[in-house]
Amino acid sequence: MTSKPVASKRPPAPIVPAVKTPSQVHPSAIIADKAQITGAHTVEIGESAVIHPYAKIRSERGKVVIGKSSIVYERAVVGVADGGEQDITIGEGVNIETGAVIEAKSIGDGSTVEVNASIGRAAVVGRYCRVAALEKVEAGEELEDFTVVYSDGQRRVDKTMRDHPEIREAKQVGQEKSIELMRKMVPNAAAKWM
Amino acid sequence: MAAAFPYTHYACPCSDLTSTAPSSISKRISNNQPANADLTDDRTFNPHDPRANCALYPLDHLLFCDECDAIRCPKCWTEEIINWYCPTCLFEVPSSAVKSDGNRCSRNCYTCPACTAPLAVAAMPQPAGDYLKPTEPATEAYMLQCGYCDWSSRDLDVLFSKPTKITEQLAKQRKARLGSSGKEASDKDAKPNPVGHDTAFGSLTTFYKAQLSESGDAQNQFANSPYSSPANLQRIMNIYGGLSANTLKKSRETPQPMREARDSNEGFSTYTPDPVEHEATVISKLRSLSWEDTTTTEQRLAAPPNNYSRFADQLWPVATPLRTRKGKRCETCRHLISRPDSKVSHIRYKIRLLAMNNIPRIFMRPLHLPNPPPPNAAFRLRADDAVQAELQPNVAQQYILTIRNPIFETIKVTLATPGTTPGNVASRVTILCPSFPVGPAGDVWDEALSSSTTPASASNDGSRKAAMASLTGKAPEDADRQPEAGKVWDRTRNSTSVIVEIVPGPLKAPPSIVPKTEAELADQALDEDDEVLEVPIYVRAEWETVIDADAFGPGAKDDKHHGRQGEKVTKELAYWCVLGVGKIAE
Repeated sequence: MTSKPVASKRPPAPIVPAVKTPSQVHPSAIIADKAQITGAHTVEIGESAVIHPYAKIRSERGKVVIGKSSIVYERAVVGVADGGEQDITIGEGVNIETGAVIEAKSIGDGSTVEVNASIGRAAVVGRYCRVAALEKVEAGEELEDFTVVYSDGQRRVDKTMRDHPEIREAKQVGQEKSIELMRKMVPNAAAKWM
Repeated sequence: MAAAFPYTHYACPCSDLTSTAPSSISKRISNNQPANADLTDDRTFNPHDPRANCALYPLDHLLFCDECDAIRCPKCWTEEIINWYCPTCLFEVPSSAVKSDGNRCSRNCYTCPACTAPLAVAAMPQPAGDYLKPTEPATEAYMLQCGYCDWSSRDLDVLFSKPTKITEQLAKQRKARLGSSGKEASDKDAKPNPVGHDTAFGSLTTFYKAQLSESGDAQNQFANSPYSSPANLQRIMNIYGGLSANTLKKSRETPQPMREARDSNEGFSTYTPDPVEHEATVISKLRSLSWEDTTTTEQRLAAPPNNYSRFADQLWPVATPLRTRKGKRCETCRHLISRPDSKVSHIRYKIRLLAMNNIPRIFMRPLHLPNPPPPNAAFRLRADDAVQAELQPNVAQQYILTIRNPIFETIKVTLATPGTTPGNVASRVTILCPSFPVGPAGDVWDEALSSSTTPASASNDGSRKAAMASLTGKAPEDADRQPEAGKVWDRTRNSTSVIVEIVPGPLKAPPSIVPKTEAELADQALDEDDEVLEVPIYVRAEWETVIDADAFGPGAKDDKHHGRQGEKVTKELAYWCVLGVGKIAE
C-alpha cells in the first residue's frame, strides 16, 4: 500500500535531564515513573504528595516546593517557562488537576486548580480557593482566601467553606482518602529522585 | 454566521425572497408565463439582503415533508408537545401534574442561583469528635451543594432534616422565614414584599376558579363527572327523579358574566411605592457591598422566590424548569414530519423526515488546497481559533462544487447563479457545467462490490498504470487535469463534482480621477458583512419515480387505477442555496 507516513501522535518519551535536579523528596511521597522533574533549582516534595505520570515540574527558573498531601495530576505543568527568576510554593492539600499550568508565586493550602486552568506568573492564590476548569488567573493577580473563580472569569467568595470549619476538615479527609487510593494505584518510583 | 468557510446554507421556499426562480430557468419551466415576468425585476436571491438571514438555514435545521414534496423550515412547521420531563432526573411528568403544579420539577432537582449548575443533596459533615460515639440522628443535616461554584444552601442557612422531599422542606422554610418578616411589615399590604406576592397569587387563583364555575361554563360539568356521556347522565337522572332543588334553580338563573377581582381578599393589589425606611436600609447596604454581590436580571427572573431579591446572598435555589419533547407537523398538509419516542430515555425517533435524506446536498471546496491544508473546522476548540485565509480580490479561484444525491433514483441537476453576485461587492461567478446527472444512492455494499470506484479510463488496459490506479484509487494524471467548460469534473456512485470559477470583486472602488461627492462616498461605504463572499445558487433537480401500488389502498384493484400502477412520474424539486466561500481581503 502506498500510503503517506502519518506523523506519530504519541507524546515523546520523557527527557532525561543532563543535570540531575537537586531534590528533597519525602520518603512517603509517591512519584510516578513517567513524571518529569527537570531544572537546576531545588525541588521539594512533601509528605504523602502524589505526582502523577507525565506531570512536569520545572525548576529552571526557581525553586519548586510541593506541600504535604498535595496531588499534581497528569500533564500539569508547575513551573515558569521563561522570564525572570521565580519560586513556586504549593501549599498543603492542594489539587492541581490534569493539564493545569501553574506559574503562580504561591498556592494556598487546600486550594484546587481544576482541569486545564492556568495561573499566571507571580499570582498569589489564597487558601481553600477553587479555580474552575479552563479558567485563567492573570499574571500578578492575588486571589483572597476562599475565592471561587468560575464561569469565564467571575469571582465569588465561598462562604460555606469560610464559615464552617467542618467542611474544610471534610475536604482534608477526602484528600487523605484519595492519596491512600493513589498509593495503591500509582507505582512509586520516587527512589529515582531521592 | 458562526459557520466556518466554506459553508452551505439552504433557503426554504416559504419566504417570498426565495420562492421565485431566476428568470433564465423559469422561462424553461413554464412556457405559459405571461409577459408580466418583467414586473418582478429582481428574481435572484440576494444573500446580503438583511431579510435573507431569516430564510437561510444549515442543512441539519431543515426537515422534509414527503406528502407535499417540499422542504420545511422551522417557520413552516407546527410543534406539538408530546411529553414533559425534567432534564436532571429524567422523570416524565404527566401533563395534568404540569397544569396543577407548574412547569418546574417538584422532585429535588434544583439549580444553583449563582452559576445555574445542578445542585446535589449533600450531607453536612459532622464536626470531628469522638469516633467512638455513635452519630446522633439529631445532628444529621443535609444541604444543597453546587458542584461547579461551591455555592451551598448553608449560605442561606437552609438545612434539611432528610434528603428526600426537598421541595416541601424548602417551601416550609421559606414560609417560616417570610412569615416572620412579613408580620412586621403587614400594615402596607399592597407592598411588593414576597409574602404578599404569594398570598395574592393564591387568592387570585381561587377567585378566578370560582368565577369560571359561576359564569356557567356548561362544558366543565361533564368533563369532571363520572358518567361517560351527557346521554348517560340524563338517563340516570331520569331514573332517580331529576335535578335537585338548588341545581334546578341555578340552571334557571342566567349566568353572571365573569368579573375582575375587587379587593385584596380576592387578590387585587394596587401599587404603592416602598416606604422610605425600607429604601434607606437597602441603599445603605448597597453602599457597603460590591457589584458582584447584587443580583443580575437573569437571576431575578429565574424563579418566583427570587423576583424581588436585590442581593446575591438572598437568592433562593431555583427549581429546574421542565423540558418538552415536541413532534413537528407540516403546516400545509398536517402530516407528521418528526416524532420522537414517547419514552424520555429513548432518543430514537418514530418518524424523522430529514431534508438531508431527501434533497441534493451541495459542498464546496477549493480546487487547489493551500499547503499545509487548513485544519478541519470540526476540530477547533473555540470559534476564534479558526484562522482562515482571505481571498485576494481580482484573482480567479477555482472551486469544486459537489452535489450528493441521497435518494434512490438518478437525478438531473441544473444549477443557476447570477453572473455577478448581488450586493455591494460584485464578484464574478461562472459554473463550468451547469446541467448534469447525479447517480442514485444505494447500500454501502453496492459501492464495494461494483467496479466503478476507479475511473473508467484506467481500469480497461492491463498496463502498470491501471494496476497503480486500482491500488491507489485514482488516475495518475489527476494532478495535471485542467478544468474544462461543459465537462463534469468527477463522478462517483452518488455524487458529481463540477468546477466553479470565482473572481472576488474589490471591496473598494478603484480611485477615480474626479473627486467624489459626499453622497457617492456614502453610497460606496461597505455595509456589515459585505466582505464575505456568498454565492447564491438555484438548484433544480428532476427525477422519475414509480408510483407505489399501496398509495391507492383498496382502490388499487379497480380497473381505472390498474393502468396507473408502475407508471413513471417526473418529480421536481427546486430551491435556493447560498455558498459561503470566504472573506475578501482589503
